[in-house]
Amino acid sequence: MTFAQFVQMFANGTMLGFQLSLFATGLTLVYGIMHIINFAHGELYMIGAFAVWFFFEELGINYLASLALAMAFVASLAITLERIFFKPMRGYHIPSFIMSTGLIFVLQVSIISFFGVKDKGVESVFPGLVKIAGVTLSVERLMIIPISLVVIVVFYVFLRWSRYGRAMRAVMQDPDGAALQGVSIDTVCSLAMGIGGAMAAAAGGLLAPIFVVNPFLGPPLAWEGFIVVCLGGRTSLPGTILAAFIMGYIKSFVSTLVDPIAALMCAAAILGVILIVRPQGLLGYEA
Amino acid sequence: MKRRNLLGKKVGIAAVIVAFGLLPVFTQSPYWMHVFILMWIYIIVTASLRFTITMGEWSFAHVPLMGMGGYASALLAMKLGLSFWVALPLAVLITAFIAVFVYLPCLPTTGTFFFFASYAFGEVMRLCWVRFKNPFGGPAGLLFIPAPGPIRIPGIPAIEFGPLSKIPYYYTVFVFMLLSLLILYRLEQSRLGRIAEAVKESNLLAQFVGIRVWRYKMVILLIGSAFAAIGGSLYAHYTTLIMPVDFYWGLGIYIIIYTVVGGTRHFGGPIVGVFLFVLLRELLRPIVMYVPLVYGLILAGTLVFLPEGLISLPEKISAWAMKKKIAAA
Amino acid sequence: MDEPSPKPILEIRNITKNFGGLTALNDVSFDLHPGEILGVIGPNGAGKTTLFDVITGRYRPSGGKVFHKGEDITGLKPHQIVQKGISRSFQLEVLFKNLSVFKHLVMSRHLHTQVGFWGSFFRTPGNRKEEEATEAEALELMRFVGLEVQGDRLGGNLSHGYQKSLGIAMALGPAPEILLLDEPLSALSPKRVTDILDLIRAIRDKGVTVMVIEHNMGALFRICDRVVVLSVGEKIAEGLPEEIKHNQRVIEAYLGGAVRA
Ligand SMILES: Nc1ncnc2c1ncn2[C@@H]1O[C@H](COP(=O)(O)OP(=O)(O)OP(=O)(O)O)[C@@H](O)[C@H]1O
Ligand SMILES: [Mg+2]
Repeated sequence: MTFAQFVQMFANGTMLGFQLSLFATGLTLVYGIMHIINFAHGELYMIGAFAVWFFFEELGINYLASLALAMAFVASLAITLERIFFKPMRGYHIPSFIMSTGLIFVLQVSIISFFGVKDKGVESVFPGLVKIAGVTLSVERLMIIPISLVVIVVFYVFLRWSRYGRAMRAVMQDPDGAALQGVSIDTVCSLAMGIGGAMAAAAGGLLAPIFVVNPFLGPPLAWEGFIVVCLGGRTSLPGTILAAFIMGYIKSFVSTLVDPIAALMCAAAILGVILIVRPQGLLGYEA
Repeated sequence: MKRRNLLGKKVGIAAVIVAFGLLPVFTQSPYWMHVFILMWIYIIVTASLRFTITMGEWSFAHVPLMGMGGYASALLAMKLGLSFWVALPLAVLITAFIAVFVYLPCLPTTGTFFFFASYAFGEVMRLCWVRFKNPFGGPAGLLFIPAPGPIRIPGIPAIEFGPLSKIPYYYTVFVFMLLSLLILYRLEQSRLGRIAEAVKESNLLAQFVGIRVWRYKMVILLIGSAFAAIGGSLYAHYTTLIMPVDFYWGLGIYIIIYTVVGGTRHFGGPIVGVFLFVLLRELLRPIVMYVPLVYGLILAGTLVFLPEGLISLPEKISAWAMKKKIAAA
Repeated sequence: MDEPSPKPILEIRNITKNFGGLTALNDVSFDLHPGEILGVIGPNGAGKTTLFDVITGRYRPSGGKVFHKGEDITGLKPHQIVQKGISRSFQLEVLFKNLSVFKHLVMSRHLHTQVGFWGSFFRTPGNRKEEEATEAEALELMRFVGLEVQGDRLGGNLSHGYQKSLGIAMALGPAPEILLLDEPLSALSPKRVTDILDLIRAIRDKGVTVMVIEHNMGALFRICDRVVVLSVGEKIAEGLPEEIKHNQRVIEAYLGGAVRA
């Protein structure tokens, strides 16, 4: 392995880490607050990518504005899904998981019927290459880092200092919701779905120019996100972010050094081992 | 009254069996034969999944283990030249043996943890088929899996399996399905089934009346895997090609959806589920693209409004009618 | 102990149990003698239930040992402990919610059920006889604890009092030599309390050694021969009921903690 190769893998891993952080935060929020496992979260990512493609490529709106619009759109979609489908499922892990797979079908087919199954490309917004430490990296990939950092920081500020954010944290730490401070549990649940959806859409929109956009992006990412959530501790947001980077680097390094199938095997094995050996995850509290 | 009901039920079931047994007399269309052959295979896999659920844990490794049955049986036939009739029982044993290693690490966990841990190990097993070209054939899987050898019964011409007619396959799979259902039903009614029920109701109390919970869970999971392997082996030798993606979690989810929508509490639930979804798929063939959408909506509707599955519908309706009657009186 | 006692049937030796940072039991030792009724009392959170959990193999102790008739049974699994003839009831009802009372009691006879796998699978005539034997035993148990009219009701639908009786019956199913009862009298009406006390006496008269956790000391002291007192994980007293009533440390422990007697 040359140094250049290492830097390349490291940069890729970092990018994947940010993608997974944005994506898995929503999964952790809805798990922590509603105790549901929502695999349709991957579809929110996919729809976010489609929305950015639609606003940016088809309607010609500015990229960052498209991203914001996509986040708003997906957030409202997520809240609608929560109200209709997940409300009765609160607290039931496996039934909610099964329900969410049903929603995967519904959302996938809806997107296919609007936009077809063909890959869509989103034109590069930040073209160009830079040389760092003698290694060539594309600007577009590097730009993911500041943008996702902004989204994550805004989210943390909200969580820490707003009344609603504090209520969300209170519910996650104390499932009986004793410390809701006058915020209704339904509001907290909707907020969690909405914020989670917006962050998934952000991840989808950010990666749209790098990867292709198609209706089948969701489920594989949903699995990865779920593994991240379990590894991090299921209700711990810092744990989720730590686990996202661990997964990002494993994926990047193992894929390059061994092969992509080996990376998938590693991910599945991590899921199995963590669930059995340390069910509270890396940073979660003892169940 | 109860007796008459029971007799009526038996007659009904016998009539259904005879009707489907005579199906090839009415239609020999390869298309419909194909639909029904796959349906019988799904019923074996779904009913055996429900059997494992009777002890309270949901396995997500069931479909990968079905694949293991298919791969084992196909490889025995292709590499060792064994006949299907020998390969199938051997594949069942091999699958049960491998299932020990898939499930053993999962056993200390329960509920959600068991479900996803079993997925994880099943998935690792499945990825082995993708990764190791020799002997599993990699992502392209195994091609040209030999058909079952002819059945020779003295006095009548040998029954040949081949591309010309699907009828021998139809009857083979049909008989395997009936036998599997019979065995699973008897198991559930036997002492093993009662122990499973107790373990499901309270793992803790079961231990304290002296039940070795781990051992019984394992036995039940292995029996489930054995029947999944029968389904996999039949599938492999019928379709003559299998690929790792055939046993991806997509099929696992379908099998779970059949089970849930049909109802897990009753033996007949998953059978109803498979019938409904397979026939629905045929009805919706003109708008085949929307099939998953319809599936998803049916699933969501069932989970919200009929959590015990479609099979509980008659019960629910009669309870509702009773209430009306009482209210009127 | 004034009178010389026979060899203990159960010896608890220096049992310690930690849950993370919390010490639920700290160096607890005492003996259980054959044929006696031993009361275990202590304020909430004293570690009484944890003691039962350690004896019956639900938790492995952090330190110390349990001997049954001189044999080390520390760390055995619950089903192995039951096979040794030690069985227990639960403080909060642990039941098969969707099974009938009758099916509960059939299950409780698991260890003594002769029904074989193949016989049961093929429904052989011999199997029918074995099933009938178990069913008769289940009925007998139902009568013994006064549940004979409730046979068809589901465990989850029983009233609190009947659930308590069913809990005791489940513990009697394995035909134990030692029976551990965790708060069998809690939240019962005075009439039911007397019934259950009579039941416990009847169990003892059958030769079963009984250990009872109970907060209702007035009732407990009417039946028990000796008492062990736990407080915040430590054994603070052991002796005859009369001695315990006037023991200064016990009174302080109860005044310091929540009094529920
Ligand atoms: N599984 C566990 N994990 C962590 N702590 C536990 C666990 N079980 C019990 N504890 C703690 O151990 C201490 C002793 O609990 P235990 O249930 O034995 O008390 P107890 O004497 O039975 O009280 P009560 O009279 O209320 O039933 C308590 O502080 C309890 O919170
Ligand atoms: Mg207690």
